[in-house]
Formats: sequence, structure tokens, C-alpha cells
Amino acid sequence: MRRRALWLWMAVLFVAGCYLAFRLVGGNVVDSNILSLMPSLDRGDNIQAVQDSISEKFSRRVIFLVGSPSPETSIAAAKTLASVLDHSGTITALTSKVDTDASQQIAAAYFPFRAGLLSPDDRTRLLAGNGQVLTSRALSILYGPSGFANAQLIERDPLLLLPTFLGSLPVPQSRLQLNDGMLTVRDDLTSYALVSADLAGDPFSLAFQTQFERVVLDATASMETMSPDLTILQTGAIFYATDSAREAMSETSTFGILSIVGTLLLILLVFHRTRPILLGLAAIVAGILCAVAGTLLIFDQIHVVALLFGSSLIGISIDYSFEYFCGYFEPQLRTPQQRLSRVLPAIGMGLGTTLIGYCTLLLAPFPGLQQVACFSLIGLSAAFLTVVFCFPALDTVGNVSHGTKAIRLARAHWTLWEAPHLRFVRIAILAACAIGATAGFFFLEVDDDVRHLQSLSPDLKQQESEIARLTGAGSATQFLVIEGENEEALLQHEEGLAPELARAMQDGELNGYTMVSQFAPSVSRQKENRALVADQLMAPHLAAYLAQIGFDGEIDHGPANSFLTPSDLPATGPLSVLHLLAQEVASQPVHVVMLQGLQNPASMTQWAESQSGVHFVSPADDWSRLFGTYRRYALILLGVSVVLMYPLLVWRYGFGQGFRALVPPLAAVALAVPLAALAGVTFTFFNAMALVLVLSIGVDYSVFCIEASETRKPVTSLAVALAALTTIMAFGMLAFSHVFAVHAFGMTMLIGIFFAFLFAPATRNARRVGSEGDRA
Amino acid sequence: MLSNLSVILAPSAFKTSAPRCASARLVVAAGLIAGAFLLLVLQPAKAENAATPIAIASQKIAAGQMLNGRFLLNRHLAGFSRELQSEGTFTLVPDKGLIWRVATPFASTAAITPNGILQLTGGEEAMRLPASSQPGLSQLFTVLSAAVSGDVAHLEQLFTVRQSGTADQWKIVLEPLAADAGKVAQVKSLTLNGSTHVETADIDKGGGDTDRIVFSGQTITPSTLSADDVALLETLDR
Repeated sequence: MRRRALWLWMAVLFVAGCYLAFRLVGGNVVDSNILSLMPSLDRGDNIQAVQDSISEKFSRRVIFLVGSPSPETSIAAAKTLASVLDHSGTITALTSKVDTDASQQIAAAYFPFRAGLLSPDDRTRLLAGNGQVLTSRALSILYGPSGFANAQLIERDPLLLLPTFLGSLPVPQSRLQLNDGMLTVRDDLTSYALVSADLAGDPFSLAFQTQFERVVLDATASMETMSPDLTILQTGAIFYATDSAREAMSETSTFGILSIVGTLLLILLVFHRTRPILLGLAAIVAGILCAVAGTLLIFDQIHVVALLFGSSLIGISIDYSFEYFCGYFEPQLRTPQQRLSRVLPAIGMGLGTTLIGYCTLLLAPFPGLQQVACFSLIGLSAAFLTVVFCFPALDTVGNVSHGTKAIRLARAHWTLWEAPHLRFVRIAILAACAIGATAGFFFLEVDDDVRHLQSLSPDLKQQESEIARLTGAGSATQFLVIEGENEEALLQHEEGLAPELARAMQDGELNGYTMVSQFAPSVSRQKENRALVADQLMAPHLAAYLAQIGFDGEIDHGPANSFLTPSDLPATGPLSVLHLLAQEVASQPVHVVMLQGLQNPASMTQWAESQSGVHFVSPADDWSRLFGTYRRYALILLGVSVVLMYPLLVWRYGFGQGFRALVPPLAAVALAVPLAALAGVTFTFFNAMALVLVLSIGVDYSVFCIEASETRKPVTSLAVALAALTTIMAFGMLAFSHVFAVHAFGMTMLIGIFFAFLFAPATRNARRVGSEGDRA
Repeated sequence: MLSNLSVILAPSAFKTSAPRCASARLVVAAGLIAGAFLLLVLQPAKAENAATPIAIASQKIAAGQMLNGRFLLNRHLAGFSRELQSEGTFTLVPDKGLIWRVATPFASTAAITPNGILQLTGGEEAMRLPASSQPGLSQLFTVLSAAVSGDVAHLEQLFTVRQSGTADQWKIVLEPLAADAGKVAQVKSLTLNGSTHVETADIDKGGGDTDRIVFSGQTITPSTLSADDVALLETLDR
């Protein structure tokens, strides 16, 4: 029976191995998009669809600034870059290409409707009855050195209202000039040329990132051979994503390797044998193999973050092996089979409680967490089964005669908690913990801000802000979504919002805003403008003006009854922003107002919600709010874990002991929070998740201690010590991660596991000692 | 990413070769770019310059110096019954900007820099065109400062330069280089005449539109712009 189980298990491992190999060869197994970890924000489908489409468009944009002391060199190098990108197939459109045909197209599109188009300043002047100013302006242009006008223009737009309107359209990048077909800007001694493009592939796919990175490196190399002293700045979501993915992967492999090596060295150190190393390695490898294969099977891709957390699985899956290995120190266990049966209840209970702990993670509707839970459940179960089926067959170690020092230390751990004369020491320890905890609570800070959780590469951030400074482009990270019945209603609604937004700009709360009605005023506004122009400008001033300049032709004001609508405008070149601003969701028109440099999101939210049909959307704040919700959720999960574990513990140990089994892990949880705060870690969602794990792992230690018979006690606490040590090694290393979220998680685990280990022997009901004897 | 100012050039050639339909003429008519001085250069330039440069004092404005003078501008536009005449003073700070102060028929000030054009009437901003908004607007400054100072070195990429005459009485004729008829410059030709400084500049914009500027009283002085003027030139830098 045993042999059959062994062969069956080997077969399962083999199948898992083959599947994994097959998937790895096929590629595309790792997902590095942070967004796919997240549940969908429940904002209502329309808003979410708009938000997704905007994020996608923004995330596909890449911007390069190629700089050199000589403008010609920078332009030539930028053209090389542009052509390399264009031919590489990684981009769909070079948005920096200056297309005069587009400009002409756009001017031609506006021209028939010129009678109803006024720049905001001109409109204000006419509303104030100040038409004279516009006449003077037209005169100074006509007489000025630039001399734009000619008879044909004057005939059709005598007071040059259309050029002024076109000049007032929102300009995304105001510092760039056109030079030899490229957009350039000069900064002190360096002259930069701009290349920007839309990516053809998904910036979050590892395969595309690698491809694009190679293209950029090739282009950079060929630019630098042409001219060595180039400065190249770049920004775009793909660069951040590539960097994060690379960092996460390298951390995963570093931590993973260090964990394994540390664990194996520990085994060697304690047991002085190589066979346990092989067995331990077998358990770890089997665990990870099944975990990765199983997660790929269920989720089709495994996320980088799940891999990172999964690498710390190594530290937990070895726990069961340690319980087993410590049987080497027990002389009465002579065969591997005996060792196994001795520890089976302990590791079985341990697995059971840990699985319950991870199962609560599955309850969270959070794809990332579900992946981590799935990974861990499968991995731990596989490790357990390897211990149960493979160890008896493969273990050749007889009894060991060393290890008395280790055993003595381990026994001291028990003595600490059980010896009457050490009562004072126990009280001192507990008091110290209490004081530390209280102090920590004063430092406790909750921080859900998603921007703090991710640590973006400072070099990339610096390039991004340099580019923003040089081009003068503000970033719009927040926007208003406006819903309405039809296009005209939306435009009128926007025009109604404009005064408040202008006031916010004047008060310094907002840098700027972009909306469709700035490009295409509503029909009612155009009618108003026509009347204004006729009454305030043409009637009183036109004749005198024409006489002064000596023009006596007929003025053609354009067709009387045609009005501009957004669909008349070609959304190309300079107007390509209209793609973002005017969208259609579920065949309803929806408009987006982009807000730049908003200082006070809270008051904007309040004002937006007070208007009907207007929603304020701030993706970063939404994510932060979501993390806050899930942080609270995780703490509830903690409670749920306790409630679910308790029946299992009661079933085996009875009510009293069952409850006491939970005391050390709960104490560890209670201490981990304030002590981590003392260590400078703010409390986030990730800390809360760590607490859930501290509980389930801590219960393992308690269970091992409870299951230990009197003679087995020192061996058990040695096993617990080794288990804690490897877990601390695995998770503690996460505390060195550069990603703040992972660092916080690691610190919490480190502190929690340590205390769970420290308090574990205290879990035993004193009355049980002696009277019930050996239970195993 | 480009500015949304979609103003177009009105290529002179377009007027003759474009189909006689209303929209094409309107497109042409809507062109706003400094008609006299802008070139859209998307094609590589072929320089055909005279071998011997002519010595013009105002070509050698050193750093820290500026060129001041008076101008009389006569603008003839086809279809207008009289010429537009303006008089005033100008100040050129090489590589930084040109301040053009019209005194008659009414006061207005224009600042033209590599970053664009700013026009003020009665102290109030009448027009601001940043260079990012239009193809070739940054060329305007280069061409204007060449017209005023005689320094045609920067224009050799855009124009063929033919020099004739002597150092005491010289003439430079600039004609744009453009292979593509559809993108031909507003400037059909720019003719400079002068002795120690540029005395006249004649600009032919095609279609019967011409400008004649007569310069006088030029002096090169150390650059002592008033604070207002400095601010004016820097307004477009943002």
C-alpha cells in the first residue's frame, strides 16, 4: 500500500513536471501587470470602461528626448531613433511626427464655421462690449512685422478671429518649437529633440518588454556611435513596468536561492548528514513544482508578485521535514516508518490549520491573493505528501549520536515556560513585550496610499520629471467623466462647468483642464458667438476698420446656418487628444475632462458629486481607497481564520487546550503590529496579510508543541526552532526588498514568527503534563 | 502631442496650382504664418552660396551688443486700395529676440524670438503665437534678424544666397529652396541692399503682396535693454 502510494505520488510529480516544462517552453507564463492583481473597482461599468480606455492609451505612450550641445546633432540622432522605432514593428504611430497635412486638414475643418468661433478672451471682451480692442489687434497684426494677412484672408475673416481661436486651443506641450521637422527645446547648453510614439504591444507583457528594450538599446547604440556625447531621456509606462518586473524577478531568484541554500546549510549543521539535505530538497522542489504547475493550470499565468511570495514558501514547506528529521535524535525510533508515524498527527494538524489559514485568502475577491493562496495551498500539500510518501522509503539515516547540545538548548526553551523558578523571567519577558507593544501603538500609522506601496525607480522618475520640465507638459492623472443624452447636451454641460474650473485655476488649485467644448463649442454657444460678433464687433467697427486699411472688397462671413460639431474635426495630429476626451460607452456618448495639477481632490470630488451626471475619477486615490478597504477586510479574515481553526483544534485537543493552542500565535499577531511600527513600518494592507500568515504558521508551532510527548519535548522544540529559523530566513529576506509593500510584509512576518516561536511551548496546558502521557 | 494650433502656411504656389474650388482657396486664405518670412523646410537644403562674403558691419554684432535703428515699412497687399505704412524703431539682440516698436499710425510693440511672436497693443497682449504652435514659426526670427542685420549665415540652409556689388554698395538676393511645389514658401524672394548696414529689404510674397522696409539710423551699442524689454523677450520662454 505504501509502495503503491509512493509510486502514485512520483507519477503525479512527473506529470506536474512535464506540464510545467511544456508551459515554460511555450513562454508567456509570467504576468507582470500590477493591474491584473487587482479586483475591479466597482464604479459602474461606464466609468470603469472609460477609465480603462484612458489608462490603456496613456500606458502605451513612450517619450524620448535626445539631447546634444548642437541642435543639428540632436535632430539627426532623434531622426535615427525615430526611424529605428518605426521599422522595428514595436510601435504603431510616431506621434512626434510633424504633419503639416494634418494641420491644413484641421484648419480646413474649422474654417466654414469660423463665424461662431471665438477664443475665450475674445468672447469675454465682446461680452463686456469691448470690440475696439479686437479691431486694434487686427490692425497691429496687419501693420506689424510678421504681416500675416492678405486680401483673401481679410475677405473671409477681416478681424482675424479664427487664428486667435485656433491659438487659444489647449496646447499640451508649450515649450517645444518646430525645427527641421522635429519638435525641439533648448535648455541652457543642451538642445533636445523629441521622439514620441504609441506602442504596438502590451507594455505589461514580459515578452514585449524584452523586445522593445532590445530595440531601444540597438537604437541607442547606433545613435551613440554617431555622436558620443548625447543625453537621452526616456519615459513611459513600459520602462517602469520593465524595471519593476526585473527587480521582482531578481529579488525572487535571489531570495529563493538564499533561502534554499540557508535551509540546506542549516540541515547540515544540525543533523550532520547529507541524506536529510536530499530529502529536504526533495520536499521543497516537489512543493514548488506542484505549486507553479497547479497555479498555471488554474490561472493560466502566474503573477510576478505571487512568485515572489511563493519563493518564501520554501521556508514553510520545510517545517514538516524538520519535524520528521528531529526524530533522528530520538533513540527509540529506529525505522523511518516509526519516525513518520510519530510525527504524522503533528504535521497533519499543522497542515490542516495552515491550509485553513490560506483558504481564507481565497475568500478575498482579489485575484492576486487568490493566486498566492492557491500557490501556497498546492505547494504545502505537495511538500507534506512528499514527507509522508517519500521520506520513509528514501530515508537511510540510522540514529544519530550527536546533537546533545542542540537538544539541551531546546530543552531550555521548554524550561523557560514551565519551570516554576523561572516565573520571574517569564513575567519580565511578558512585561517587556507589553511595554514595547504600548510604545509601538503610539507610533502606529496606517498608510493606504498606493503611491507609497510601490517603489518606482528613482532614476526613471527623475527622467520623467526632467522630460515634463523640458517639454512643459503637465500630467493629467485625474479627470471628470460626464454623461449625457447627446453630444450637444454634453457640450453645454461642459460649458456650464468651465467657470468653476477657471476659478479653481485662478485660485491655484488647478493648473489646467482640457475638454471637448474647448475644441468644439456647443451649438448654442456658437449661435451666441455669432450674435455677439455681429452686434458688438461688425456693426460698430467693421466699416471704419476696412476704410483704414484700404480694403473695399465684399466680406464673406461663411455659411449662415451651419454649426461645428465634434465629429467635423479630424482627430489626428494636434487634435488626437479628442480620441481620449470624446468616447462612446455602450453607444452613449461620454466626455472626459482632463485635469492637470489638481491640488485638492477632496473638494473637487465634493463639487463633482454635487453636479448631476458628473463623476470625479482619480485612479491613484481609488486604488488607495481599495487598499484601505482590503486592509480592514484582511483583519476580518484574521478573525475568520481563528474561528475556522478552532473546531479542528477542539476536535483533537478539547476546548481548553484547543483554545490555548491559539494563544501564542494570537499574541505574536498582537505584538507584530506595534513592534513593526516601532521599526518604522507603516501599517498597510500587506501587513494585514502577513498577520494572517503569522497566525497559521504560529498555530503550526503550537500544534507541534502540544503533540509532543514528555520525552519528545526537546526534540519538538528543536524542530520548531529550526522551522522558525527557516521561515524567518525566507520571509525576513523580504524585509530587504526595495518594494515597500514587500518590505512591510517581510518585517511583520519576521517579528510575528519570532514571537510565535518564542511563545510556542507556553501553549501546553500545565495539567496535561504527566497525566496524559504520550499521545502520539 | 503637438500643439493644437493648426494654422497652415498659405503657399503662394498653391494659389495658382490649386483647383478653383472654394475650400482650397479658403485653406490658402486661412494661412496665418508670417507670410513674408516663413519657409516650410522638410526637404534637405542645397546651398549655392557665393564664395566671397561681403563685409557688412551689422553682421558682426558681438555678444553683449545690440542693433538699434528706425524702420519705415510699406506693405502692399493685392486687393487693398492703399498701402499700409508704418514707422517705428527696432532693437535686435542676436539669438535672443527682435523688438519691433511701431509708432505710426498707432503704437504697438511686437517681440519676435526663437520661441514665437508676441504682439502688444496699448500694453495689452493682442496676439501670442508660441513657436510650438506652427511649423516654421521659429524660422521667422532667423529670417527677420537676417533682414535687419544682414547676417545671412543662418539662412544658408533655407535659401540660395546671391551676393553682388561691392563692400560699399552691395545687394544680397535670397530665394527659397524647396523641391515640393505644394510646400513652397511664402517668401518668393528677399532682397537686401545696403552699405555699412542694411538699407532696404524687399520681400516678395507672391500674388502681388510685397513689403518694402527702409532702415535708417542703425547703431550697434552694448546691450542695455530696459527691464521691461527683457521681460518682454522672456515672456515667450515661459
